[in-house]
Amino acid sequence: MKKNMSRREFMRIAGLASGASILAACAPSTTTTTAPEGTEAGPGETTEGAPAADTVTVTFTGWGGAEENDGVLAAAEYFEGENPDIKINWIQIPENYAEKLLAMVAAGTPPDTAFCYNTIYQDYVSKGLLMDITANLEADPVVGAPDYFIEPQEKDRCTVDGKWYGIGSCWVAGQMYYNADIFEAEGIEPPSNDPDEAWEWDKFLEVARQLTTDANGKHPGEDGFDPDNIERWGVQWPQNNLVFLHSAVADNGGRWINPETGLVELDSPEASEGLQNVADLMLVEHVAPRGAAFSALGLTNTQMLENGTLAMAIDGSWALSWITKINANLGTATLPRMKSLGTDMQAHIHVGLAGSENPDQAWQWLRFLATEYYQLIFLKMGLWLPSQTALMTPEGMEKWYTERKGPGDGIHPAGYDKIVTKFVPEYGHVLYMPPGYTEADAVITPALDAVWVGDETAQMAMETAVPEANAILEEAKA
Amino acid sequence: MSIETMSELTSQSRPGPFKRNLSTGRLITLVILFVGAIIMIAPFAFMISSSLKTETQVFQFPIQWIPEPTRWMNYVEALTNKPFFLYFKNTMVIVIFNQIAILLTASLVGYGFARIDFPGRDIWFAIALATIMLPFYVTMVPQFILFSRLGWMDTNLPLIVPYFFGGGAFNVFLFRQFFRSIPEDLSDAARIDGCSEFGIYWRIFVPLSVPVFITVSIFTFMFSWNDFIGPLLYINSPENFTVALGLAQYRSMLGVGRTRWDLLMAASVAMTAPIVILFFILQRYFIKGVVMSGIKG
Amino acid sequence: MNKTSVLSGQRPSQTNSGFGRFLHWFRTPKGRRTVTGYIFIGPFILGVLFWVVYPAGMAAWLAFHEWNLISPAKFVGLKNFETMLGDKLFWQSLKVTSVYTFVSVPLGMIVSFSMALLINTKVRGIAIFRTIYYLPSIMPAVANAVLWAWILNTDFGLLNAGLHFIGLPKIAWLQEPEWTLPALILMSLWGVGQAMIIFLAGLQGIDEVFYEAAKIDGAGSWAQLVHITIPMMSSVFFFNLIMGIINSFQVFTAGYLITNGGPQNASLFYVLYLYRNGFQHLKMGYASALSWVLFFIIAFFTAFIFRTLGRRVYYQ
Repeated sequence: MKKNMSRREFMRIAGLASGASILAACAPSTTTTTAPEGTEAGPGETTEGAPAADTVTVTFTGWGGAEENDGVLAAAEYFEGENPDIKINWIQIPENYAEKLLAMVAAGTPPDTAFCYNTIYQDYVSKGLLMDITANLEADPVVGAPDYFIEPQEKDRCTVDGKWYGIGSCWVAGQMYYNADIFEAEGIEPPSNDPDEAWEWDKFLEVARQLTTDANGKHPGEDGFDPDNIERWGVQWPQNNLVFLHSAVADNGGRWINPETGLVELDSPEASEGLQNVADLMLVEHVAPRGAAFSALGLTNTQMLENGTLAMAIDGSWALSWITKINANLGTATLPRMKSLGTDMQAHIHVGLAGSENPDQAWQWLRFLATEYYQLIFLKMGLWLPSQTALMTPEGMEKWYTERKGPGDGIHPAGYDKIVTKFVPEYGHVLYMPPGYTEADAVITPALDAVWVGDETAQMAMETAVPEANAILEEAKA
Repeated sequence: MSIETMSELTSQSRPGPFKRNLSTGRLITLVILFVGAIIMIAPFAFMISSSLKTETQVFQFPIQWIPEPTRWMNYVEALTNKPFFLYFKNTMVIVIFNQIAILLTASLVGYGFARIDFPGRDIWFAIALATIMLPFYVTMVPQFILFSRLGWMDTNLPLIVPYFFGGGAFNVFLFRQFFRSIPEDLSDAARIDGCSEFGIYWRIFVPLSVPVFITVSIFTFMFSWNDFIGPLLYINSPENFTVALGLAQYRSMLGVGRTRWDLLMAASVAMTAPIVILFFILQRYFIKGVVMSGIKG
Repeated sequence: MNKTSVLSGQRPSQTNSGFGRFLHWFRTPKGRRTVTGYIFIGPFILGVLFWVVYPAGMAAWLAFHEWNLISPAKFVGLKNFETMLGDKLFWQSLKVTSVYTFVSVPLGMIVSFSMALLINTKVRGIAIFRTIYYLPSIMPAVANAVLWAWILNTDFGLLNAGLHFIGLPKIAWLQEPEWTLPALILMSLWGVGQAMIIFLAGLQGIDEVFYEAAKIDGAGSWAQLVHITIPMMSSVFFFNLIMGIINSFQVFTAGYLITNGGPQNASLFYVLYLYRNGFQHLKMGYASALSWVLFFIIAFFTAFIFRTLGRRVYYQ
């Protein structure tokens, strides 16, 4: 009896298996769409539908979520319409991007063009992986024009020894978001988007204390305040992303990296004080939730802003694209001023790879990515800030800037134009990561983790970690 | 089904030291058994309960075990937000090839070790046992280099092809153990009838060994379905993701800016369900496989 | 065509006689068995060569080189091993993995053995309990990691809810370095069902005669457990111990997905560090050196356990 049972089961499983395999066989094959190069080189062989005699495929890799994916695909379609002889093959690699890209290079199948993190750009240049596009850029009447990009930041981030190996995609920066309903209910004047009116740090702390309440309605500093039982936090300043830490460092007049030496400078008094200020929000002032993994493991700041358990959030300008959807009145502001107002500005860089067999077509695509059409797609979502001067003029902004009137109705909160045209371009600091920084970061990040939980002061932690990190950077240089 | 198979172990069992007539001792045992069961089942209950909540219900303390309202839509959302059916299809392609590879080659090799007496057999079998102990991570880096040189990145090949070569020493071992328990007389009789070694394997051993084929097949399914490091190393683009990779990347890809534990839990339930269902259908083979791997080692 | 004729034409007599001898040998039963045997295990031998011998050899070669996959490999002698000695993260990962292994494996054995004793009781419906106790062990690793990231959540997680229920304060399991490893060990204890089943099978393999004899001698439950059950099960303990150590030295998914090695490297497991060196920093040489060190560590502990405990193991 049992034997029969089991055999029947076995047959059923086998049946299922073969059924599934038939299904699999019928489904359109995915491998054909990502046909490797090598086949495309044959000049007379391109018989695929297209009328153009020689269609060249330019591969393009990048990370990103669904929005980026859709944006790139839309742009590629437009570009292919304008350049019928070029086909764009977009390969999305959402995670472990840097490793996977290097593995493709190592396997001898590098993409023609790619997204490149600002943190590894110089590393790639030093390894000789990227295509020198200086001549192409300078010869181009549009993107090569001297005032086309916001300068000197564009040149600063893209050139190594005066040569261009890529073009920045856009800019993004650290800024503040707040739940305007909370400010209104508490009768507090919210912070401004105008850097001239940026809050001093003390003023910021005072407001943050007022907005932080425990279960009994008490605020930090009052008698009987219970820091373990907080119902609403004044602020959250994330520690899990370089952007916000560099923002704090820059906001206090410090530097992460010394651009002349290419070494870490976080042990300077300005830099470590900036970092300490962030830690103190949690440890001393009790106005910010603790926990380095806060945003990765529980509610995100977006969710907390929405349900009113958080009044102010420091986050990236890119986060506007989803924070704008919350069901609450939303405001934005510059960062509060520590010692000298500043924020981090950065973005990924579009690069061509040195191994590309179609450098001319790759350049055509890179150039297209640096034009208005492409940047506008993401500006409209609230994901990017412009890097092209023409998109920062009043006429230019009309093409993408939409005032937010409510969730889903417009993107940019009232007064946000000041962030775009003034705060970011005038107070933004570009961060250059020297070759080998990824490894040096393996020393810096754990040392900072100890700061966020109060085991060490930023000064102490950086005094031991920075020399170690610099030793790694020195070795990478050699 | 479940009771029949799980109790099978009992039917051959003799009472252990705890089977006494001391009623207090027995009572304590029962209480511990019960508390233990609650602890073991709580994470599952938490997962399922969270998977049926709204985004805000998830963040409520104390935990609301039976969500009101119950949000079944989470499953639809979790499985359509990312192309999970595509991931499922990708995983099943790997699973099917692995099944073919392992059931075919591991049983052949297992037969060779079990029933053919040839010089060097014992040395090779010792090598086979030794490779079970060899950590995967020792060969991970060179294998990665090898497969990337072969141009197999972002394809299923690194997750399929190696299993056509012996199908893994552990599976070979399971087949060998089983084949050894089949009486020699059967083979001898077949040999006299002029049956080739392959004929004996195919006509006599395979039909007699359905249970071990099912056991190995279950292990293979679990391995391919659960494998994470393999796809993590070799699969790049979302259209080639497996379920495990898809779920792992869900956290960063889904609903940027909002951690949707409700959807994450729904997706986790969806990934776990096939294994649990398989377990309830084929429980005896699960248990048999685990026991075989443990006792006869 | 050409080639074969040249080849066979070269030394015809030699080939013929060699082949003839082979044919003769092949006709003997031993010859037949040898050829058939190797045909049967052939795929396995090829597999060992392709996927074990070649990679392991290449890893050994790489361990003495520096290579980032892109520029040519450079011979550096023992440098990778010297680097390791001074590499704080290497020692940290070794510490994390050792602590994890030497706490979670013995604890896991105690828990799984206790569970096996429990589910060996004769109660109506015991099969349901067995199923419940076993089920967590078949949970896919990735789903398990996602689930536990949520269970360990400080404010809304199940574990802290449990602590709250018995009147204990909340613990920031994944934010406080000293709690991260305990949290992951707890997680591993939930999934000891495989070992439990092996223990259960072992328990049921013990001959009733022993217990009856002990009862006549007046031995109680505890005495029976200590003097009969545990000694008789020594081979099962031994097996579970070795497999436990081998597996827990290779823990990856939890550290990678739940904590990504943090906080403050408190969950930087050895293979996670190996993975990072190989695939994030592309230090193929260093990663290979690390992989060989891992192999020797595991081999050392296995051999050590065999030597010290192996002899005392009772095989039925």
